[in-house]
Amino acid sequence: MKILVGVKRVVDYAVKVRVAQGTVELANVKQSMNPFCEIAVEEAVRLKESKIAKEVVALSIGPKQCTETLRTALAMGCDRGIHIQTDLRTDYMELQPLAIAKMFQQIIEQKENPDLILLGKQGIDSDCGQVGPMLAGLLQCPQVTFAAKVESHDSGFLVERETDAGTESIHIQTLPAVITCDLRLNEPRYATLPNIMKAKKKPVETILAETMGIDLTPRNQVLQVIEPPPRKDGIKVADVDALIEKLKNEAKVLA
Amino acid sequence: MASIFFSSSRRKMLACSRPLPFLFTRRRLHQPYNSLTESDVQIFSEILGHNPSLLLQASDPIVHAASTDWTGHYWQAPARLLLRPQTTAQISALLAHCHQRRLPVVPQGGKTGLVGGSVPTVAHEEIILQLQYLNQITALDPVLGIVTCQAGVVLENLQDYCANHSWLVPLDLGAKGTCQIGGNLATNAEGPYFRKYGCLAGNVLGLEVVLADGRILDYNYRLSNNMKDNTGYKWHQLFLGSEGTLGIITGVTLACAPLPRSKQAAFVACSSYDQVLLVLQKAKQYLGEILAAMEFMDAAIWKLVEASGRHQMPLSVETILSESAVQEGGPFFLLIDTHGSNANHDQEKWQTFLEAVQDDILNGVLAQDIKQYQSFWQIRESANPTVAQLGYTYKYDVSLPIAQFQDWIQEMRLERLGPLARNESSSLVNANWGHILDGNLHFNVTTIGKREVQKDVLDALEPYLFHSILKRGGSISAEHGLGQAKNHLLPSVHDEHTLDLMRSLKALLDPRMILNPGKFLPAK
Repeated sequence: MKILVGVKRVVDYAVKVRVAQGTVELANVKQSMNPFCEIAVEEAVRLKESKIAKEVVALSIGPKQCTETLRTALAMGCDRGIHIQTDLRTDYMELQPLAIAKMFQQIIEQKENPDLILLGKQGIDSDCGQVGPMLAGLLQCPQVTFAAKVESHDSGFLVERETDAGTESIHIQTLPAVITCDLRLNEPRYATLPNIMKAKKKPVETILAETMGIDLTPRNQVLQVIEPPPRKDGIKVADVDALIEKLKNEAKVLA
Repeated sequence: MASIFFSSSRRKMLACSRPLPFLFTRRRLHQPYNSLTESDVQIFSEILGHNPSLLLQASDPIVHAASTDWTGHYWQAPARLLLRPQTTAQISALLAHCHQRRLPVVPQGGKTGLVGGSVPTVAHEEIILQLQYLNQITALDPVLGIVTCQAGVVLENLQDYCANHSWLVPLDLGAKGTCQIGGNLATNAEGPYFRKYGCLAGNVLGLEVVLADGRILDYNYRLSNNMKDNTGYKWHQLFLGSEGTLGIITGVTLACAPLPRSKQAAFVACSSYDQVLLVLQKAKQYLGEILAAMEFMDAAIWKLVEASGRHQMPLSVETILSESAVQEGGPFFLLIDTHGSNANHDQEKWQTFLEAVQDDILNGVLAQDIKQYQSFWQIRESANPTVAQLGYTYKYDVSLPIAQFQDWIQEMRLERLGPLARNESSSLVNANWGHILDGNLHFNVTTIGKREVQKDVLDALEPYLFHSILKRGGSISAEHGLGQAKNHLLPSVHDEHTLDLMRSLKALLDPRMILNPGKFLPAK
């Protein structure tokens, strides 16, 4: 079985995002692998370690620094990397989910033909969660989003899916299929130094986005990017009676 | 008078048992103190604006908590009085009164010190004076990176504030969420970044201090933007590291460093201490100016942190031992941290370094994002809390020639800890970690499951440990200071001339000996 894993390079989860020149500031900001993509890579590598998969290919779309993200994926255990190079912003400002899904589709149908596609459930920059479902629609194949558990079952997979009310179990009967990964699925491994060294020798292929013949124009126009309004100061009350009065009459959270 | 002649061991034993009878505490040092009266309390209350939350008495559980330190080794009884001034002027008035009435005072910041320096002592009835309400950051020059703030500002708050303006406070500690900058200055705290950002005292541009008699001294504190000034004795430096015995620090002007754009960290595991030394040398050579910290953790502390279950550990002692042979006490772990202005440059340096040390390490992991970088530091910073939770911990903080760390640890284990008779129910573990770049080792012995000091363990460790460190040319207190834990050792460290000079300074600045009695200097 071959697995294709999507890895996205995003502003690091721990960075305090700022707005500059009407858009999210990216200059000199630390960027790292999207945490949900890390989980997807970890799951793919575990499937390979348990001999369910034979090969794991990592795919990333973005500027030339995406090769660093791919090297992390390779250090975690992926076998090969594919880098679709573009200088378009991938945080929704320029490149948007439909175009990304179409690029994935082309690689899948014309090049790799994987049996399973693992993606993070969403990018922490755009928070869209759309590439997975859109890709499955384009490929006309089964999809399970927000996977909390993935088990090989018959010739497919048994996936536990997170919902607001609990989890549902879904049996994917035919492959290929798309699974998007959620937090509870696994805890990603650290990249060990020997693996980082080995990763340097693993092949990474670069494809220029503009040579793919796909319309990359955004479907949605970003009108405005602003920071959230600052939180209002709290007030101190003199005693419990005053607190109850405010909760009743101002905050209106008590009957 | 009996208390001052007790060795640290006996003092610790007393400190851990129930409070002494009142009769015993009447025996004071040669400087007599007065007892607190209602009239004193009234005057303090007036100074504090009759605000009931600023003056608390012994019955209040807050006073109870304030009277015992972080290690729990120095508890005797709640202080009679706890004062929480809000301004330097109030501190000045409070101290002036205490000076006039000969009432002993213990200044208290975050109370995270490890030598009992911030809590009342057995023999005296100190009033606790807390600095926490002096918590304003008053100014930050965004161009020069000079920050002015009051002494009660919590270190982490100061770090966050300065970081928001792209400046780095040149001090970091595991206790950052609780300790206050005033206490850091009074104890000359260091932490892991000493080598890169220098001694904290060196970054102090201004200081505001209140003397024992209430006089307020200002060294460039209000004129806050001078980086250079040579207009007199650098008297302010006396207060740094004086542990509240010469005056109370109420404000500081600190020089910050540019916030590093690129921070990288790796954990590596070595099979022998010789390998550790090789990695250290190569790190200095290949990482050069971006090398910010290197922290040492031995197999014992790594296993304890692993066992606590609180962290996803990047490496496992068991796995390493199953794959490789290691020196006794190994494997040894190093956390290597770099700060730089350009991620690409730093990564190049890291590549060269990692290639150079490939054969010197058993394994290692490199942080791939900020969260992993922070987890590595959380693992390192959990060393102290982990052992503290397991049982009574005998804590030692020493400076040693770096090449001798493991040799000295083995000496202590074989000569002193090994011979201790121990059975299954009373296990004892020696765990070690430290700032290896600075030659600073934290040697810890914990009696698992036992919360009280044990005489045989204490006698096995002290005073042998101190003498063996001094014999190797090390320091018996690298950064934790003296407090009431190690002051009695000073005559072994300094000659009489030096001790006399220190005593003269104390007599000059606090002639009535009201500030932090029984600490820092040995009793005469």
